[in-house]
Amino acid sequence: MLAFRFLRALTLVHRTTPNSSNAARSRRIQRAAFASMAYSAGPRRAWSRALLCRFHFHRARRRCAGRSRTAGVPRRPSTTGSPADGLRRLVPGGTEMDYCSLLEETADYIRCLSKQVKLMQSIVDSVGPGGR
Amino acid sequence: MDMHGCNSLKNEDNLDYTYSGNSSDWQQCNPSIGCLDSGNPSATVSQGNQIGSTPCSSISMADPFGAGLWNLSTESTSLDLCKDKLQGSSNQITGNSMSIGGTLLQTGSGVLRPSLSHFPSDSAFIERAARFSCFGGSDLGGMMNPYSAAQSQIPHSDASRESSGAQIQKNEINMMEAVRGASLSTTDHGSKEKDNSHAAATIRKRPSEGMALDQAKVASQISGEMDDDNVELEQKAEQNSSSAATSRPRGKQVKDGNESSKEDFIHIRARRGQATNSHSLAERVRREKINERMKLLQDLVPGCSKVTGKAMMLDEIINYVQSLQQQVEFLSMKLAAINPRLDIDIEAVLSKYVLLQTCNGPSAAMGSSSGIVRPPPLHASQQGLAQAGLSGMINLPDLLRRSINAQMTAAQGYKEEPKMQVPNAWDEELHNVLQMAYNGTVNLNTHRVQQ
Repeated sequence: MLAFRFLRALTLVHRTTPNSSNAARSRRIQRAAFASMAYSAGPRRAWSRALLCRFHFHRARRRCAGRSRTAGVPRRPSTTGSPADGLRRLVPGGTEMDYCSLLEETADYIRCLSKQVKLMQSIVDSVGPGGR
Repeated sequence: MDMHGCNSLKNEDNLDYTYSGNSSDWQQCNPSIGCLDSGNPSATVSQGNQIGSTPCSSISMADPFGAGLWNLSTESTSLDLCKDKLQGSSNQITGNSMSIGGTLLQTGSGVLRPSLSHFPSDSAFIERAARFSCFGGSDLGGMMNPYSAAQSQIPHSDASRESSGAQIQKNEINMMEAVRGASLSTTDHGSKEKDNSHAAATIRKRPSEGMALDQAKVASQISGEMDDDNVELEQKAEQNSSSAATSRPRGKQVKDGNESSKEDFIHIRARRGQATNSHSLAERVRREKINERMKLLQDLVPGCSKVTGKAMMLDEIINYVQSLQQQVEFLSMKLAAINPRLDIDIEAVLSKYVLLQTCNGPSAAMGSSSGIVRPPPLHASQQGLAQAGLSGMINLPDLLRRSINAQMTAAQGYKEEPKMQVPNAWDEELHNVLQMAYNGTVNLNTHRVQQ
């Protein structure tokens, strides 16, 4: 499913931004990669939910961010010097989890990330020297 | 991030589940302590406690073992029961302490042992010892003789004990093991006698270890509570300490076996030198979970097996995640630059792919595309874009050839070789999609040419 979603997103990006710069397109492709990752992982995972939320509320981000910051009380606010701080920043939705779930989410996130990287690498390889 | 609510909700669900899972496990592990579940405490009590205990629903969860302890004390018959057990166990004292420890761990008493987990401090233990000593002088004397006789038969236990840390801690550890044993079996009255024998063995060992000081303290606290359950607790504690002391190496193995065999309970084995109250238990469970997950991560992250220590592991993991995210960014830049060919017809191709997927699976997709393979070379030259696209696409069949199953026996041109078996499902999916893209593009180019 990941391949399907990502390729569709990729083609969509290419089709809709023929004139934009490579940088802008690459940002969109990167977002598409993360979105397809999150969709494939499903709603069972906290990190995928966090990612999807981030993408869905992209337009209303400011409005929702304000709301969520006041309403959402972090379960375990990261204390200064906590060893998992770096990890919390890296994994989407990591700031809201306790350490135990953070490790679990990290494992799943790493698995999905490596799948995505392999997929993109194989696409690049398959298009390969035939590209522009 | 806007997922605070969602995440917290999910986390709450997880925590609630875990917590209730723990509570139900504790309830089953400690049938004499019905306070963990407000429903049906009497049943659990009757199951696990022949002495019987009042429902302790009013008792807070923070001290479930203590609650059960006090419930036991309300029964007057427990005293007689203890007496009988002590006398009966004296005959078994001469048995091998190692075997006692092993059987203790495996059978468990199930009745009073759970309550013994409430053994937080030396003073509590001393109180129980005091009660035991004041419980029956004659009985104690009668018991002590065979105990001392048997004591000489267990020199190894002394050595093991001496090598251990504080004895109180050992006792606590033994109590935990007893709790574990209790959780493994239903109330076993017969095993209680064994436990008492172990208790006797423990009593024996204690003096040799220099428990004179404790006994002195005990004597000073004789005026304390005369609860029967405390006596029984002492017995249990002694059992536990003896079993733990003598079967410490075996205990861990038994524990592992028990952990693997009983998966519906959460068994927590206190290790040497570790506290055993409920908070520490929860902490230990949490720590074990964390260690488990760190091991999983260690397997995922390459090159992490040499690194030891949580901090280093975390650094490695963080570096790996960062490197993966950088790779995604880099590849997306590449894809932005080099991939305008694929986009034209992939939408149609992918929709066709989805249809075929739903109807017939990948084999049909492969089969249907076989007939389309031939025309590409004819039309590639007629459209610059198609040609460029096809030249870009030509790599796809190579890729597919390498990794897709040989279902395209009729395939010619670019797909003459039988495909290799796909190692992963997603690889197959990717290649199916790419192949469909290739074929779809070819098809559409054909259409364009015809127009």
